Amino acid sequence: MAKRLRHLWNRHRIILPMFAVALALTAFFAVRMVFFAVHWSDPGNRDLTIEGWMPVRYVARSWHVPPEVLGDALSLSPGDRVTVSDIADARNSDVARIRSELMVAIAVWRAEHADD
Amino acid sequence: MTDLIFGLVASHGIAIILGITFLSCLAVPVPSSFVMLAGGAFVSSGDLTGWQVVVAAFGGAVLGDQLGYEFGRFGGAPLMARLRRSKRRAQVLNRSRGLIDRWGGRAVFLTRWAISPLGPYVNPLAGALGMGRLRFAAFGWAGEAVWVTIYVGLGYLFASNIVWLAELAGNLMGLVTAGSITVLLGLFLWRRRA
Repeated sequence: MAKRLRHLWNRHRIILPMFAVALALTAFFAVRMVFFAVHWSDPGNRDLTIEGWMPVRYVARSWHVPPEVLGDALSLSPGDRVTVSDIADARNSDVARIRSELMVAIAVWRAEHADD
Repeated sequence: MTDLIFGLVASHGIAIILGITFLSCLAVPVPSSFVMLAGGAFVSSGDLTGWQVVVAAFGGAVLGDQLGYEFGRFGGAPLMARLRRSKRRAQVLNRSRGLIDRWGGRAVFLTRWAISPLGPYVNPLAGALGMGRLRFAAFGWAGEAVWVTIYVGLGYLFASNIVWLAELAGNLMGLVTAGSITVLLGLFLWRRRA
């Protein structure tokens, strides 16, 4: 084994290190895969925090509420693709405040539809 | 980073999807997979239109591929002519020509989606080594169709958590690419172990 390795090293000074790096990278991604699987198998880690980049309808999709619920909560006209930051900017507000308004609307809707 | 990309898709829609997939096929390091995931997710939420997202992603990708191919074909011609002057190099070129004839289609197809990080480098190589334009396009289009379908489809199906999906997909792509390179280099070394 050691002899073979030395032989390979003597003849393939470039390919052998490349192989070692590729192997290490493969191991790295494999370990990371396991880490992801463990992390995301916890349902608490799965909810998406409402962020500025999210279109309001996407928030509705992500939190499993009808889009009108959130549109009404922020009195938006239907059909527009507006993000949470767009709304915050337009109202001289900030993302945190819009987020909490949306969270309230989501909580209310979920409470009303708890039986479904 | 993912937030920024998702935000760009949210505010600019399909123009960003077309631009990013185009650039990614020219080896510009832009996260085309994130863009397509976001596109699929925003179709699901009703913010974008499905066929437009698919056409933009596919169109950007095949345009980028073809440009890379033409670049290799025309830019590579003088280089190839010079290499051919040496007999030994000409032999190597002829052998790689044989490899292209035998494996080129499969390589182009697979480097569109399964090992997509290698795609941008295969394009000019295919052009320079004289792979037929029609053959390149046929396998390329087929591969890009798979690529777009997978990413836009996953974004659509798992729309409620594309952040998670983007991390997972990025890692999986890294795993498959590093794994394929490991296997190829390993086979090469194994055959020369004696």
